[in-house]
Amino acid sequence: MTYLEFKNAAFDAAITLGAKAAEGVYIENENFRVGVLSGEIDSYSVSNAYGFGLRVELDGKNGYAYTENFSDPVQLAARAVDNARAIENEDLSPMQGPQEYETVDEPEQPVCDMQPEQRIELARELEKRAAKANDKIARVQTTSLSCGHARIHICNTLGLDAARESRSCFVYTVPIAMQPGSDEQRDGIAYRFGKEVLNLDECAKEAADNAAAMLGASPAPSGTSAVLLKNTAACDFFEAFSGIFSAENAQKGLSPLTGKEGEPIAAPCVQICDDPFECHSPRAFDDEGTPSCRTTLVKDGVFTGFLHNLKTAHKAGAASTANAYRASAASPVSVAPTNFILAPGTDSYSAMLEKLVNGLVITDVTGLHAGLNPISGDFSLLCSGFLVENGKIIRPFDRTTVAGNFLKLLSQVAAVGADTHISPSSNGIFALPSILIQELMIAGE
Amino acid sequence: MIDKTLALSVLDAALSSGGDFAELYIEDGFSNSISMTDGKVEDAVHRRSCGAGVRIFSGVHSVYAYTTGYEPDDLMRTARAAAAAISGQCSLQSKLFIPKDYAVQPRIPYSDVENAQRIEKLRAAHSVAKAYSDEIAQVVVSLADNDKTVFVCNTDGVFATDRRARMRMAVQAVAADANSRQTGFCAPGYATGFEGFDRIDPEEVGRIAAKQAVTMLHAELCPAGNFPVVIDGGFGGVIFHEACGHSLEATSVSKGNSVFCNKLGQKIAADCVSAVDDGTMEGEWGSIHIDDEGTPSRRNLLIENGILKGYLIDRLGGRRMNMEPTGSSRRQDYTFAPTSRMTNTFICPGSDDPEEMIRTMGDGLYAASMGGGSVNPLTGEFNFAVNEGYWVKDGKIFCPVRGATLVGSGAQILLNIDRVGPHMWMAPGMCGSSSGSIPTNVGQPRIRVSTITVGGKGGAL
Repeated sequence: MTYLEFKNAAFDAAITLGAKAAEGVYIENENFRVGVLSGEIDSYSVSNAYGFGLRVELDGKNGYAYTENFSDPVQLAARAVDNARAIENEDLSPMQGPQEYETVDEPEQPVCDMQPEQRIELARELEKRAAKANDKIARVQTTSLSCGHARIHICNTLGLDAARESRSCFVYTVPIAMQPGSDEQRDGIAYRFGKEVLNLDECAKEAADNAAAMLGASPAPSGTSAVLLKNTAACDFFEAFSGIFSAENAQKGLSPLTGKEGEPIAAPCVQICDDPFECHSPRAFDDEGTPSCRTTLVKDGVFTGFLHNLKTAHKAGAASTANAYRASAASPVSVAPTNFILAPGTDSYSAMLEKLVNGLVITDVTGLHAGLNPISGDFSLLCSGFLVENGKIIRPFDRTTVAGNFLKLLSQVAAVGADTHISPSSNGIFALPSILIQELMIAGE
Repeated sequence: MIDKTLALSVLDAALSSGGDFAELYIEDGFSNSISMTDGKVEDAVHRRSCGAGVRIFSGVHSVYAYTTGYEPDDLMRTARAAAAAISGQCSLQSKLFIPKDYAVQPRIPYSDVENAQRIEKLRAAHSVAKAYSDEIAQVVVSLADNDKTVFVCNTDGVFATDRRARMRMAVQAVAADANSRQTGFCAPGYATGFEGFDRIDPEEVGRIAAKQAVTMLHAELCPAGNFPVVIDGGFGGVIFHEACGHSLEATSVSKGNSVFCNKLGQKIAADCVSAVDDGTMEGEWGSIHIDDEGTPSRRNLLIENGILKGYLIDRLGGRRMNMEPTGSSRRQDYTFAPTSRMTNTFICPGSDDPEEMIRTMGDGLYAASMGGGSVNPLTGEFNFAVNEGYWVKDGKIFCPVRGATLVGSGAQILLNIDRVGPHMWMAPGMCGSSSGSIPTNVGQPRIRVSTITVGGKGGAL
């Protein structure tokens, strides 16, 4: 059975079994990945994968079933209907009919048009350049290039019919620096995506310099300290806390922003928005087929409102902000940012270092899946970076933790840099500049 | 799942361009997940997943191709796609297949379980957690189960079938007052059918999560600095998993990216430390009958009385290291090529008195329940979160503390373990690495580490 035949049969079966409406999301992915090591192909992967997720609406409640085998549409529908009947939550989970969409321009992906041999050569070249980009580099641990082509189709029995294709390309390298005469090893990473993939020298140099700069690191002094959260670390850190802006979490009492709409939550220099049209990862609609729109989250430090899908918007008496998100075709509809943007200020990175005067630059935070609590906003994370005195970098540090509370951190933002970094996420990008924070708790030596 | 003739054709197609080893992996299975928020069922999802992967080695280089579905055409197309990445002449023939069935049938298969039976378990956990205290503001309970059949064959003659059923229940409780929200978490799981509930009491799971949330609501901020730390058994074993286990995987060791490279037979831990990775423990969350290359799982001694005795090795890592595979090759599903991973990994029981450890530690941290963590195998630098901690003052438990994170280097912490208690127990987790997210158990008896960096907001007690 083809996908379309299967989908139509599953919709018919769902309606026959008592569903008021049925919606399908079909996702097909073709992927290519090559890893090189010492100039040789170390790993190589090609794939073609697809799946169909069925969502049915029964008495305002949703049930889900997913399959990768298109032979038994009736069983799939029966599973979804059975799951809908199990739901006890009274909140309506509506679906919607046909929508009109803006046309968006897909970003250029030059590597996606290349033959495998050319892609392999690019990865080899990146590895070669990373090994030479800094004289402290002893070897390159990993270099990898991947390309993807995804096709997504969302449609339902109410007439919704939304389709899009997206292509992507991503490259990264991890060189290792060693100090002559010592067995200390440090790894550094840099990545590029989209058309930036072709800037091999830039990527190689960034990774190599990152590795070499950490040689000789030791723990930072314990105590409170002013912190410059470098743009790369800021992206990771804000992504880990982005769930606090979800109306779904707020309605369940799982966000510290619950009830804080209209209140100042950040320093006045903080502006945050969700922009699905941002040029690195634009999309015309969300995972429920709602037409994209730009949503302000924080304006001059004031929290202006949560991100919604159809269900949370209905409960709040608001409109969906087009932030319905399904982690895969097998996942239920939830809420997530698309392109999360903290607006840049005017100071360069070096000007921000001078503003810091004395304190720490944090270039990397780790343990984000464990060391932070998105419900309370508390965090205590392993970090590394540099000690700064009088606006100058003195030495690298590692094996140090930084602790605080996310909302308190927002209110203590002293300045926002101009150096926006763009980090790809599972549902778009995070775009943040370096951020100066008045005070955080540091534990190291 | 597949007949020998077709399997042979697929492997032949895979070897046609000069590879010296080929493997076909097929899986077909389903999973269910159901969650309850605030006492009401919120989401219920059924998933059927099926696909196949063909892997080819040429020396120490590997190619992997995968596809959704496993019809003969899918398999042949995938084998050819993989072979296309290798350029050479076919020079090898497959060995004769030796079929083996390792499947253990679940006593109560999930296909026979109704949603109502699952919901009953959720409700039991929710009720107890919610009723534990007026301060419990929210309880989220979930149950996930899955059952999959796995087939692996290769040109060395492996032709193996396995069936794997697993289940895990999770309770997250939130305790709140005017100033703060704190969470408690408990999530037991087993590699069994629905009969896993013979070993899990949902009410107890709810109670543990609620107690932890309420305790943490009334906890002080943990002091920061370098202190002795007593870490309890069960999920406390995450310290060994992160600080040492990942650095013993061939993935890191075979490429010189581990602090424990070339250290076999050398002292890497205190004398009181022995550690094992054992995939054979019946019904345990991290157990496997065979690994994802068709090698039967086994008990691997990693450290004996402080001396490094072994690594965790997959076929490709074994080629690089010139060592035998250890039944440790695992993957999340067919969309990942397998690599060396852990199963049930634990520090073996010792002989030290669990009470004495605290009594003689002076001032420090007693970590009763650990959260997750991570490690950089290259440097051995690790971090993990303490979900439920108690400050110890002058050898006595003084008050609960929150916000603590433990950081340090794996090589150092193993040498700093100075007490190992007599009773070992394990707890389940999901471990993420290059071959995806897989179920693993961590475990240990109560241990003491003479000094670790404790990060936190620096409370003064």
